[in-house]
Amino acid sequence: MKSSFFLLSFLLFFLVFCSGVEAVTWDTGQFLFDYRSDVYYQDVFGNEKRSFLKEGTHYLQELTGDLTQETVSGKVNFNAYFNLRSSDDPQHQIDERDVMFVQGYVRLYDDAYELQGGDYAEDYTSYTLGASLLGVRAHLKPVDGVKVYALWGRNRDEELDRYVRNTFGGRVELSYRGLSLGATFVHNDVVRSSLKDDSPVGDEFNQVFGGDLKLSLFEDRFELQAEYARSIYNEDERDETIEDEYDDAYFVKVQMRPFKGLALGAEFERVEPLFNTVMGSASPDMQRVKGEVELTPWDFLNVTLLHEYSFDKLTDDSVADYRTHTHMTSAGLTLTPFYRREDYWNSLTLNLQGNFSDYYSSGNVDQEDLSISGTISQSFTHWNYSIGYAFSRNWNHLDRSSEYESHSPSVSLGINYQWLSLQWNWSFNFGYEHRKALLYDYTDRIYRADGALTLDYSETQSTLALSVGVEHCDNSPYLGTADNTRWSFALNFDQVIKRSDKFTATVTLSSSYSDYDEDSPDADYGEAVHSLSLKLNF
Amino acid sequence: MKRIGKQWPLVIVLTFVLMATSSALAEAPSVSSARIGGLELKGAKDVLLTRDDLTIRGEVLIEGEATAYEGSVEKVEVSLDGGRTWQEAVGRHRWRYRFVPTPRYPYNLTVRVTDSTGATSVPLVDFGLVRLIYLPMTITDLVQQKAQELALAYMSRDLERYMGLISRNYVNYPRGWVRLRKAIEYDFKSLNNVILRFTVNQVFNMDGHVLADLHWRLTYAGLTEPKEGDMTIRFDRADQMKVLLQKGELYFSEAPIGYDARISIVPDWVNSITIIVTDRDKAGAGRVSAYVRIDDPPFNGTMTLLENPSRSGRFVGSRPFTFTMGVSCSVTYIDEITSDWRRNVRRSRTYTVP
Repeated sequence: MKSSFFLLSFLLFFLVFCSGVEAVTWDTGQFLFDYRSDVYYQDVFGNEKRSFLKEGTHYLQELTGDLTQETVSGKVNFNAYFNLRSSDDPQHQIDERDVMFVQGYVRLYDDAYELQGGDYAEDYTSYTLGASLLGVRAHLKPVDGVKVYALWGRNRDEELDRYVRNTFGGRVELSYRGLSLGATFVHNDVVRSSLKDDSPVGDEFNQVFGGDLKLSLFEDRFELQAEYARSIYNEDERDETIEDEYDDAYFVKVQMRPFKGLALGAEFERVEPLFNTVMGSASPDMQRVKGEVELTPWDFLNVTLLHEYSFDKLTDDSVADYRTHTHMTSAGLTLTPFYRREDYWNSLTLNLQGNFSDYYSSGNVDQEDLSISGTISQSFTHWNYSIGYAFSRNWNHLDRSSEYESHSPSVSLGINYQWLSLQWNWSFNFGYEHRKALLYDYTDRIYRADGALTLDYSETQSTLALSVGVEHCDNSPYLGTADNTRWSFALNFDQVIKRSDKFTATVTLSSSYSDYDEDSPDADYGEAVHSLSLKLNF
Repeated sequence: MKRIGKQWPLVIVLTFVLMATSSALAEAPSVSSARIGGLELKGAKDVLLTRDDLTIRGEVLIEGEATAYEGSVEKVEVSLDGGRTWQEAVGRHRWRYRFVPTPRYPYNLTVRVTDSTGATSVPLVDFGLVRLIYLPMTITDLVQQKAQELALAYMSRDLERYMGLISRNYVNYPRGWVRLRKAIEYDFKSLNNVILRFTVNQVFNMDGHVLADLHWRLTYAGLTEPKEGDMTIRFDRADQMKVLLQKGELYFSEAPIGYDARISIVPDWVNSITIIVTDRDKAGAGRVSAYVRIDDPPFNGTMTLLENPSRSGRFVGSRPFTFTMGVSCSVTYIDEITSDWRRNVRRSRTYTVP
C-alpha cells in the first residue's frame, strides 16, 4: 500500500512537472491547485510510551483546488474550493481515516449578495453565532442600509461526533449613517434518532434570540455598542424531568475620544447563570465591568490604564457555592522618544507593564498576583534586539505553601544581512526564570536558549533554515518533578525547482531531532523525524 | 460623591460638545486603511503572512485608502524598514503597493500620506509600525504550528510562554484571561509527564481572524486512557496568531481522573521508620515531597520520597527513629488532585510507639 503510494505520488509529481502544466487562468477567472506530498520517517527512542509519534515510515498527501469565475458581465462571481487529505499517520488523520475530504464549498457572490453551500464559517454576534457548519448560508442587501442573513447547517461529522445537530438561523441588519441595528435568531436541535449510546450530548435543544446596536457619532469619536440575548436551553429532551431553562445576557461598550490623545472606554457584561449558547460564545454566571483610559499626551508617549471587576454566582441558579470576586488592574506605558527621526533611533521603544489581580471568595479563595515587566527594543538596519525583565509575586492567604515570587530576565537578538543574493537571518533568544516557593524556600530555575539561522539565496531560490534550542529545568522538590533537559535541533531546506507566473514546484528536505532527559528512571525519550516533501502550486 | 453624581448629565453634555467641536478642527492627512486581502493592517502589531496571502505571482498586495482633510491626497508612500526608506504606492485616495517577500524576513511596515498643501502624516503615530513576516507555508500549516507551540508550552509547563500565545483580549472560558491563567497554573501544578498533541481538522480564513477546528489528545501520569476532545480556536491575525477565543478546553485537566493519596508509616522496630506515599496521579514523577515531624531523633522538615518501582505512583523514604514509648512520627502530604476534584488537599497520618 505504502510503496504503491510513493510510486504514484512521485509519478504524479514528475508527470505534472514535466508536462508543463500551469495554472488555468483566463480573462474572467482562474483554477488554481496546491498539491503536497510528504514522505517521512519517525523514530522514537527511550521510553516510547511518552511520545505520541508512531514509529515508522508515513505519508501525507494534500490537494486543494480553488476555482474562481466571473460571469454575466461581472455581475455574478462563482467560486468553488475543495481540500482533500490522505495520510496513514494518526497525527494528520481525523478519526484514523486514511482519506479525508477535509473541506469544500461552492459560492455565488456579488457586492449585493452571497450564497454559499458546503463547509462554511459564519459570524453573527458573540452571543448568538460564530462557528463552522456544513450546509448553506446566504446574505442579501435588497436596498442600501438593509442586510439580511440566513443559514442552515449541521455538524460535519456524524460518525465522529456520534450525533447530528441541525442549526438554522437568520439576521437582519439595518443601518443608517452611524447607526446600525441588528436582530438575530439561531436555533439548534440534536436529532434524537441520531444519538448513540456513547454520544457526548443528550437530545439537546437551544434557541438564542439577540438584538444589537452600534452607534458612531462625531467621526467615530463616540462609539456605542450593545447586545442583548435570550436563550432557551434543554440539556436532554428525552428526560421529561428536565425543564427548559430561560436566561439572558447583556453587553454594553462605550468608547470616547473627546480630544486628540485621550481615549476612554467602559464595558459592562452580565451573563445570567442559565444562559446557554451552543453556537455562540459566552461565559455564563458572570458579571463584569471594565474601565479603560488611553492617554497620549505627546506623540512619543502612550499610557494605558485598565481596571476590571468581575464576580460569579449571580443568583441562586448558579452552580458555584461561593461568589468569587476578581479585580484586575493593569497599567502600561510605551515610550518611543525618537519617533520623528527617520533613522534607526526611531524604533527605540520602551514598554512597561504592570498587572495586579485580586481574587477572593468567603473561605474558599483569597489570592493576589502582581506582575511587572519591562522591555526595551530597537531595530537597526541589519539587526534588532530586545531586553526584558519580568517579576511576579503571588500571595495566597489561605494556603501559604503555594505563594511564590519569580524573576525572569530575557534577551533576544536578531541579525538580518543581505550579501549579494544571499539573505541571512539570525535569531537568538535567551531566557532565565527563577521561581521561589516562599514558605519552604524552594527554588525552581529554568534556563532557555534557542538560536535559528535562515539563509535565503535568491539566485537559486534556495532557503536553508537551521534551529537549535535547549531548555534546562533545575527543579526543587516542591513541584515533585525531577530536573530535566530538552534539546531540539531542526534543519529545513527548501528548493524552488521551477517558478513561473503560473507554476511553482518546491522540494523540501527536513530533519528534526528532540531529546528529553530527566533525572528519574524510565523518563528519557527522544524523537527524530526525517522528511521529503514535494509541493506544486499551479 | 453625591455632588459628582448630580453633575453626571453636565459632564456627558460637555464631553459631547468637546467631541463635536474637535471633530470639526482641521487635521493632518491620514491613512484610513491598509489591507492584505480582508486583513486590516492599520492598528495591527505582528502579522504572519502565509502562501494564501500572496498573489499567484508570489507578491504581497497591500491595498488601502488615504484621507486628506485639507486639499487632496498628493501621494502615499510605503516603508518596509520602519521609515528609513520609502517607495511611492500606486494611486492616491485609493492606493496599492506590491512587493515580493523574502521568507522569514521581518519587515517593519509603515505608511505615510502627503496632501496637496504639503502636509505629511507622522507615520508611526498615524499608521503605527506593523511587523510583517512571510512564512512559506499554508494557513493550515501555520495553525498546526501555533497549536504545536501551545502543546509544547503546556508539556514543559511554561506558564509565561503558554499565556504569551493567548491574547490579552481573550474573553471566554473560563471567564477571561486572568481566570484562564489560574486554571492553567493549577494544571501545571497537578499534572506530570504531560503529552499533548493537536490535529488540525478545518481552517477558515475570515476577515481579521482565523477560525480553526482542532482535535486534541492528552495523557499524563496516572491517566489510564488518553483524554480526547474537539475545540474551535479563533486566532488573531493582527497579533501573531494569538488565541482570541475558543470553544472547548484550553486547560485540559478540568475533569481529571484523580486518585486519593494514601500515607503509610512502616516501623522496622530497630532504628528507622519508612514512609510511603501512594499517589497514582503522580506516577512517573520520580519524586514527591512530604512534611515530616519526628520526636526522637528530632526532625521537623521536608523529606523527598523517591518513586519505587518507577511509574508506580508509590514514593518511599526512610528516617532514623527511636522506638521508645510515646515517640511519634507525623507525615503531611499535599494531594494536588483528588478523586472528587478537590485540589491541594492535606493528607496527614501520625504513628506513635505504643
